[in-house]
Amino acid sequence: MNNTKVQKWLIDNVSFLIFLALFLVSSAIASEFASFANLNNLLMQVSVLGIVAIGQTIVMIAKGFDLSVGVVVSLAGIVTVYLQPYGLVVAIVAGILVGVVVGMINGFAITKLNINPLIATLGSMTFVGGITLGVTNQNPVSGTDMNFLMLSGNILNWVPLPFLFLMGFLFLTDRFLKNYRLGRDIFAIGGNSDAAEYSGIKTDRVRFLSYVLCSTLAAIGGILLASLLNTGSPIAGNGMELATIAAVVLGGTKLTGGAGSVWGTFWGISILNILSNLLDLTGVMSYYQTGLQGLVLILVVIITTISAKRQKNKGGMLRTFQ
Amino acid sequence: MSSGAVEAQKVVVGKTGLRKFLEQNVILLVLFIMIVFMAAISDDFFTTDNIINLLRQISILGILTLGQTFVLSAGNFDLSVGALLSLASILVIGLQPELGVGGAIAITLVVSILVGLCNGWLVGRVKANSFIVTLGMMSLLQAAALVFTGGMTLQSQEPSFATIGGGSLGGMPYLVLYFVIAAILFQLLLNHSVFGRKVLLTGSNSVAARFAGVKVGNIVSWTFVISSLTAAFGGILISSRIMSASPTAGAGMELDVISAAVLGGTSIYGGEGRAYNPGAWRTYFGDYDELHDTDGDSVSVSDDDERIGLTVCGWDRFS
Repeated sequence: MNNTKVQKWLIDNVSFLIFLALFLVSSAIASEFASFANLNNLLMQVSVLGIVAIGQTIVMIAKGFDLSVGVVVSLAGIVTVYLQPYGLVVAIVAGILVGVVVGMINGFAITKLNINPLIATLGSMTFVGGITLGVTNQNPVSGTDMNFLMLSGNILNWVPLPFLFLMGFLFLTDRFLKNYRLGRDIFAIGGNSDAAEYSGIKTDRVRFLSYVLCSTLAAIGGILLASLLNTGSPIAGNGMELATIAAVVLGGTKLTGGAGSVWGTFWGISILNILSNLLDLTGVMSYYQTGLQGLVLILVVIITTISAKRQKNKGGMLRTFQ
Repeated sequence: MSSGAVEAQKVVVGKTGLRKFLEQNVILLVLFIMIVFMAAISDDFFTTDNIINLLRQISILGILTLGQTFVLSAGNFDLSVGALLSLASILVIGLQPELGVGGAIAITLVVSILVGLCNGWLVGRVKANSFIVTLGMMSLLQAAALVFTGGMTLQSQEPSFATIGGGSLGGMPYLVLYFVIAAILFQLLLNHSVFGRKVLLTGSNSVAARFAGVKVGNIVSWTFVISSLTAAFGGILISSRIMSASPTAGAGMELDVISAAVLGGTSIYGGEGRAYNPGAWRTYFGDYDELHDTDGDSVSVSDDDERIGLTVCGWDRFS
């Protein structure tokens, strides 16, 4: 491994390195950080947001946006908790269907009616959010089936099951995006939609699918969150839309589409979570926490931007399929 | 299908003036239909009070949307406007006891210019992603507003401050006049000035803009300064109108502002933008609220319907 290769590796994995640095700093500053309970909790938090962010990554690689993921998380959790009396399988399938349906509505509005993704998903965010509040009358719903809690339990007393789900989805989505025709089509559409259309890709169909995948993953995240809390809360997913977009961009996916990776998104989510965890542990007042998070977000994006620029100047290929 | 390519083709083929104008301004047509519809189903709609009230409601959001239009036209986002509006409304009242009304306004505007320069430097020079930069800035400013007041609401003790946002000229509130003047100025600046052309060129192709001699970094910085100034101005007006300030007054406003600009015909990918249309759209937005208010529906319901209206309207604009 020569010098330039080392540099390239460092630059390619800048979000991972930032995560590693934050992890070491956190262990040094807060003695409770490396404790089993805290790490377990952290893995759990990363899992739910991570699964939602995978979907967001797919949509954003295809040069889209999905602002409705937060309300899908809430509604899927509520539906699953509501339908528990009819059996867990029915409840979970219904929860996932919520995601599929919202995704189809988004996809239809964006591809067939040609509405701007930002506007269409903002519309469905408010629309679905209204349904969520209406169904629950703004109150959280408590679960009745204790077996449902197993979904968010620990495997071998150590790893939360949702984290295994996250790893599974990350692996599968990564393979799907890199090695399958449909996955490559998503990159092609994000890079240049007109060129993709002329080279025979059914762009509308692929884009439609990306929104369905995104909402479905959001619904799965919502079900896991509901299982963790044993509650379907109408505000469970609030703010997730901006958090996931931030994580996706931190992980190196371009807002203008055509480039990105789900593993980058995973590190992005980890950075955001570890930061808020550290601030919680050190007892920083919540007002200052908001400010510090903003500051770190800006610093991280400066670091990633400058390192990406270096890479470009060195004549290295910009990552497209990584 | 990409609508961009199709639209470009249409322009090349050429259309008669009126038809072209209508095609580019479907939103005005929608607005007109909405007004007729409102007037038909509600007797109170065409009263002077209602119209003026309506215009007053849309003015502050409208002014912010004008600023956002510049940022979007240059190909970026400014998510920090809502939090900056909160901070400005806090500062302009919080600083009054020490500095007087004039001093407080001056400091508020200076702070907003600094925020704009900071955003502009990071996006224009460092080339960091505007979405993340301004999202971070949003958290920072929100925290600053909360820390400054300790989460409390502030009251203004200076009666003279109320005239800025609460006064009126011959029955027309100052707020509306500010909005109209700003809309005219910004339209001239964006579509009929060298600066505006540079903004649009930067947004449509920043590499081409650089080769054509446009100082892209500076142009981007200016758009952020403009957006921040409109946010601060909005904050001052809100404070002045209600003579008090809350640290979360502008929370969530950024998405409203961006969608209003997009519905008005500004592309979020840059290079296309019009300043007068966001105003038109805003009127429609306000209409919808007003209809429900006169019908006595609850606020939360009308909030939802408003967004459905927004989606429907988006369809008209983009299909």
